[in-house]
Amino acid sequence: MSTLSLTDRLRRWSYLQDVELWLDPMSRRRRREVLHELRTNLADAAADVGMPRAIEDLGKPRALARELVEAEPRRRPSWSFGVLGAGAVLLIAMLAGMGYLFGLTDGVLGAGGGTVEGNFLGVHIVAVATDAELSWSLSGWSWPVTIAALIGFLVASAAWRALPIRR
Amino acid sequence: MSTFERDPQLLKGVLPILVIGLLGTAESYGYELVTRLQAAGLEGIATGTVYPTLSRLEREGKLTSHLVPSPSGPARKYYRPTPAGEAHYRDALAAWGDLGGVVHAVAAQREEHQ
Repeated sequence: MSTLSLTDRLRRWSYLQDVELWLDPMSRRRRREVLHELRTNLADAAADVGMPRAIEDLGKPRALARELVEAEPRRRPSWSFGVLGAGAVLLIAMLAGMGYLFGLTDGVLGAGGGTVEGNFLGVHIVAVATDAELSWSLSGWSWPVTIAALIGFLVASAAWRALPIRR
Repeated sequence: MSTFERDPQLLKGVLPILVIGLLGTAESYGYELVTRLQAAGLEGIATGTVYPTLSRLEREGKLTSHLVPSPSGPARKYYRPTPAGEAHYRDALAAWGDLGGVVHAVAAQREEHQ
């Protein structure tokens, strides 16, 4: 095995980073083993055909990772995808909340200013918009958003894979 | 060298037999096995097809592996068939021969018909 150039190391690192992202359903230990073996095999192949060709022969990172994950005896939940799923729900809720807040403020400004109260998915909002003051206060807890985020987490992570299999 | 394009699904189905067959002759690490498959006639085989097959066969208990330190790099993972893998190889080879027999019989009938 020859020593890899810095460019080849970067190419390999970048490719394996992509593969690792899609290997999330594997256990950490198993993922490390698989990546170590891929790293070694890529170095061997690069010595033979060059790193660009060695990477090309492995195919798209997502497709390779899918094949490797399918080779596992049982697929595990992907908790990091779960966090992304919950984050997406929270982001959408936050943007919708801001839209509601600005709409509320715009309404009260259009009516000549004053104080207005509203409720957005369980969160109580008080908006004050006068010539001297522009402020909002939020209170309460949004259970609908909490439940939606939880569902987003469970669905995106495929959490049901953690349940014991009934035979 | 064959000039026709191989059906990827057919190759995927037969690859475990070829992998166990070659590893039964001599143990190999991933990339070495790819080069052996290429030398055996699968010139266009992609490494991305072989590594998941190795992984699957190992998880199914048909291959076993051990790390061998490499003098000029990280340790390589060498594979060889387990007794279960050898048994699977014999069964699969018999099934393949049987299927090949049917294909040849049908082809022969067609030749006669023409």
